[in-house]
Amino acid sequence: MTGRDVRPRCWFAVAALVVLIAARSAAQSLEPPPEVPDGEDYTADPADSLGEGQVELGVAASGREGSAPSRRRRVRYEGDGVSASVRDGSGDPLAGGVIEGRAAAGVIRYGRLAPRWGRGLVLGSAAEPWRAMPLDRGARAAFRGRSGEGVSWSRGAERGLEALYGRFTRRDLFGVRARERAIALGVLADRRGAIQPSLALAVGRTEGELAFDERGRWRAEGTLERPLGDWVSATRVRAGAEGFKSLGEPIRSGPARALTLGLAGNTPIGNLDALAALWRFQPGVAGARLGLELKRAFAGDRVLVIGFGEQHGARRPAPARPGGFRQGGWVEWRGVSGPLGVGLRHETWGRRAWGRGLTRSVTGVGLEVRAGVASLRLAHSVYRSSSGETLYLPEVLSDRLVLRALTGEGERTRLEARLPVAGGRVRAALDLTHAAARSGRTQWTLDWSRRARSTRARGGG
Amino acid sequence: MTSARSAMVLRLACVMAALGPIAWRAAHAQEFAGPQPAWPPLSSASLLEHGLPHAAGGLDASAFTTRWYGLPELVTRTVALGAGWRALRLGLGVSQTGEPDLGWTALALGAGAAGRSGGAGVRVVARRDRVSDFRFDAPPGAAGVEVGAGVWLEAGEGVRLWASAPQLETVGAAPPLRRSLAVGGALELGELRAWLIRRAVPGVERGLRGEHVAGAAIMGAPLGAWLEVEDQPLRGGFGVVARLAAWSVSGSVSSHPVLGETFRAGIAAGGGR
Repeated sequence: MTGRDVRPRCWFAVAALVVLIAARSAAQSLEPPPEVPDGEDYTADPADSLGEGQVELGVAASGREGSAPSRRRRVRYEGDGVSASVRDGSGDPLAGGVIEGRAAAGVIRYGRLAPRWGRGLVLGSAAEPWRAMPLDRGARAAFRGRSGEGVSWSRGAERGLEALYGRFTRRDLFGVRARERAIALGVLADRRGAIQPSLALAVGRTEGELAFDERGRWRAEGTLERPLGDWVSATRVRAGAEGFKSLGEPIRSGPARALTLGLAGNTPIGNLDALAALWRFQPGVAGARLGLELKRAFAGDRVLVIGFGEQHGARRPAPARPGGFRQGGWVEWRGVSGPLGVGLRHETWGRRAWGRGLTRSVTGVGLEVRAGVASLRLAHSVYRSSSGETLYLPEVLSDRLVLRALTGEGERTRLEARLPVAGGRVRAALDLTHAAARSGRTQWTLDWSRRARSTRARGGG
Repeated sequence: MTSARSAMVLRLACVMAALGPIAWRAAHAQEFAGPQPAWPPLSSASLLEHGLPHAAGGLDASAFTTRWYGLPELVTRTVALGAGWRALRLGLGVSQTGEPDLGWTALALGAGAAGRSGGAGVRVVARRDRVSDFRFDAPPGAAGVEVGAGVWLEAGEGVRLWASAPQLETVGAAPPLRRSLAVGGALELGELRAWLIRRAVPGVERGLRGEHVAGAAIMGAPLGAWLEVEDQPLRGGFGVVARLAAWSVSGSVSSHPVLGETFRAGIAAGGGR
């Protein structure tokens, strides 16, 4: 499958919304992981892939009002059992590289690492209770993450062995893990002698993990997915000591106790996705969430989505953001007619029932006009968030997804043109932000990328 | 040139002073909103006002006048011309608002594409006050330009959705009214139409709680009529249109509990129905 294939089928300008839908689970919006400071943009690297023997080159420049332009470069290659990716650019949060290839009777990976063992209790981020799994950890993630830098080696699938050494969250870690069909046993340790063993089980859609730290504190999580006729139910349970912190990613350790129930299936009026979750970080710091989303597809690639959510309590162990009661909803419609694609979305959250006591609200429209391989996209959003609240607007750029952190009140417009140039594709984008608290801010991006088959691939060698 | 002359917003503020700040959120239409129902777009005036091109092609022309809130000194006179060839839609319009010493002139251009199942367009409106001499080297702030866009699409049998962001970007002197994103939906059952619009109103209390418009119309031949209700504050209006061949004459009244009535009357040739 090529990178183009894994892109959302609906190509129109509200692609940000499409990604939002594709990447979220159980009626949850995209939001940055816990380690991202509140109010900062978050940049993610979509986990698309190249075809065998393909090379991708890309150069980009961007700038904003009152600052010097910055440049980015990227190269990717996949073929002959080797894949490599290098990104370079001043201030680029995705800068870095990774190379992966067959060696030493296994697969060696050097550079950016984002592994996930079992349910991520020790390594790879425990999922937040309202998600089935983190979006940027492990081989199946929607985005390529970066939990550490180092080298890893793995061998075998059902019966296998893996080892890694790298720097994770400012400390050097060493890990070894062995798999025997459904069972995996691993140990992660640092230089100071901290050790965390992990025992994981995976049978079909049933997974579990039990982990300990050097003081004997434990944490366990299990997940079970079962079909119920035309429906699918999912249950996730987590329990353990409050003091247990993941050695690999302590910030992403999540709540010590959690119970999540999910249900998805077809109804006469559309696909329903429901979720209910309870969690507790420590006594007095707990939360709950309920989400319902109905998705109805119509003829001609037209989709209507209606959602409702309610949340109580804290979502973080030491919440930087205000917690408490939140209730909200969203309505989204998108469709395509000939060369024209349109998407509309409105989402609102409030401190009181029925969305009153507004905390966050955003209304967005996107359109794309396509002529052959060229296209013109326009996306416009009007937003408002109350004091202390940040809302994140997803924006799909040429090689990344950015969750744009917005506060206060304002409007954001993005105009993007895509044209075929020099055997590749040029994307020119202009972003205009008008916020009530400050004068207009203009950003621009110019990006050229090209994918081609390598000479060896063309020659069959 | 004095600063008072160069800043159109100050001129309008003189007029609006009598109306109070509520006027800024009471009127979401500007110079090119004719006596037409909110849906569907019937002429090039919709392209110029909202960025929404009409489905019918061919040539169209319309001339109308608007008396805002019953104030004789705040009258807008507008002429709009449009042409459609295949899917392409073009519009050109000019209007004058207010007295010679307290008004402004607006020139609008619109371009877009539309068919039976959807359309999209962009609009550019330039304004300058009526007392300044025309000069290409006019100082910044002597004139203002706003750029916007709109799109509509058939969401299903008889169902239309649309969005209009008439002021995506503004340059120079501020426009007389700040207009934000409006999203609407309409149901069409033969000659009967009903619509609901939600408008974001940033910058005022309740802000993005939005304002809402509900309306219904019977657009038959030779007569048609429509009715609209808005909230915050609750108010309404109605309009009628009479058609004869390609010609139509229409008028509308919208009332406001504080500001009074706004009257519109016009004549048009061509366009849709």
